[in-house]
Amino acid sequence: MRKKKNEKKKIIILTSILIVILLALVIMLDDSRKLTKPEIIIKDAVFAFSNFISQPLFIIKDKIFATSKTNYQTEVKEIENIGTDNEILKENIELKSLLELNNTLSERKHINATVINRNIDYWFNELTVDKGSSDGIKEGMAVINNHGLIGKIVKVSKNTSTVKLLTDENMVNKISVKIEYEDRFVYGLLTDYQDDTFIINGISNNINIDEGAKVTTSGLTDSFPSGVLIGFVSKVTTDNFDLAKTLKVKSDIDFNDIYYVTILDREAGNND
Amino acid sequence: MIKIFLVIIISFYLESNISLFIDYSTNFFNILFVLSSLVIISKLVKDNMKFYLLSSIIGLIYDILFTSKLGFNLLIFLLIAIFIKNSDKFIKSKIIQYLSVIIIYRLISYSILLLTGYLHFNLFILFKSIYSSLILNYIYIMLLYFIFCHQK
Repeated sequence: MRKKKNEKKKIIILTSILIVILLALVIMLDDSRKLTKPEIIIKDAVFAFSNFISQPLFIIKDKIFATSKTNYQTEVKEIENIGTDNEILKENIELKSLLELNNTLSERKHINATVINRNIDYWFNELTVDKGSSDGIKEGMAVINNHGLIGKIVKVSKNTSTVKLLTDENMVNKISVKIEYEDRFVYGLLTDYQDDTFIINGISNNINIDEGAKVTTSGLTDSFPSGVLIGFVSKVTTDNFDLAKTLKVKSDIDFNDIYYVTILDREAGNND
Repeated sequence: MIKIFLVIIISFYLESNISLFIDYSTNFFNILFVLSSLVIISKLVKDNMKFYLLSSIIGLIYDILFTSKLGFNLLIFLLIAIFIKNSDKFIKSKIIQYLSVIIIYRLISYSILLLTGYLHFNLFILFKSIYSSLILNYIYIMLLYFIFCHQK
């Protein structure tokens, strides 16, 4: 009898410990959790030391990717123009001021950064870049590269920042986008990322969207400015009830191959 | 002690920097050098409790540097350490033992992320994460074994 009671006690204690650990992990896995001071100090110190030792490696890397680095700035400007030209042409300034929309790409300052670490842990689609709070980086800022939007800043230390990529399933279902059709826009939400394509569900079947239509951020949320390229519609399908369309959007970004990024500062007034 | 320190430093350094040079789209070279180093450290630290403590500390540093998810790898590294120290009893083959460390790491981390609601269930992704991690990390374990544990 005593043995049975002891075993029951052990099981209860073990289960309680497991539940506490899982609850603690739920809190720690939250991307909105800010880094603590010891974490920031350790992270900055280790990456500074690692960068110092890795200089020869970085020189080799820069030589290997020399072309991409020199072309990067020009290409980023082109991507910005895709957004801003459209915005300038199509955005009704009067309406914008009435609605107090202050969220376009042209109104953001750009901070260029180099990827110093890729995470690595298979489940977290993240990158670490060499710019942090000392460069004006804050959580929630949008991150682009020469092919369009790649993600947003989720963690910031003094000299480094963590970028969560769009391909992460916790990121992709929170992005409001607009799809260009017949000189107009229809708004939707990215709902998934499968086989290198983004999925947009629930577009009305009455709207005629062709393959190749441009998909950009809508600017309706705080995180991403309006007009940043996400990709182009690669396939349009209709659901079983003929009520809504599902769009597959192909991005030009190779999310496994990112070396330089540009962070968009939402509080600045001018481009750098 | 110096050997242990060297194994840890080299593994952290390589895991951080080699990730920049390897094209992940190849699907076969996912790096888990720090985790793999636990196998070698277990051979250098005879006291079980010391090994468990050291593995937990390595897991915590791994969390701070690479994932920013405190406690996640601390817990998994501790469980893996317990597995490594006890696997001799039921797994005789060294190759299977080393590979099972990587497989169990993937299974535990995926299970935790499912239980905490961080990921949705997708068996294909789980398989992909396992097979993409086996080759390179096994070679790394063998290389470390040859350098630090091989006795003539």
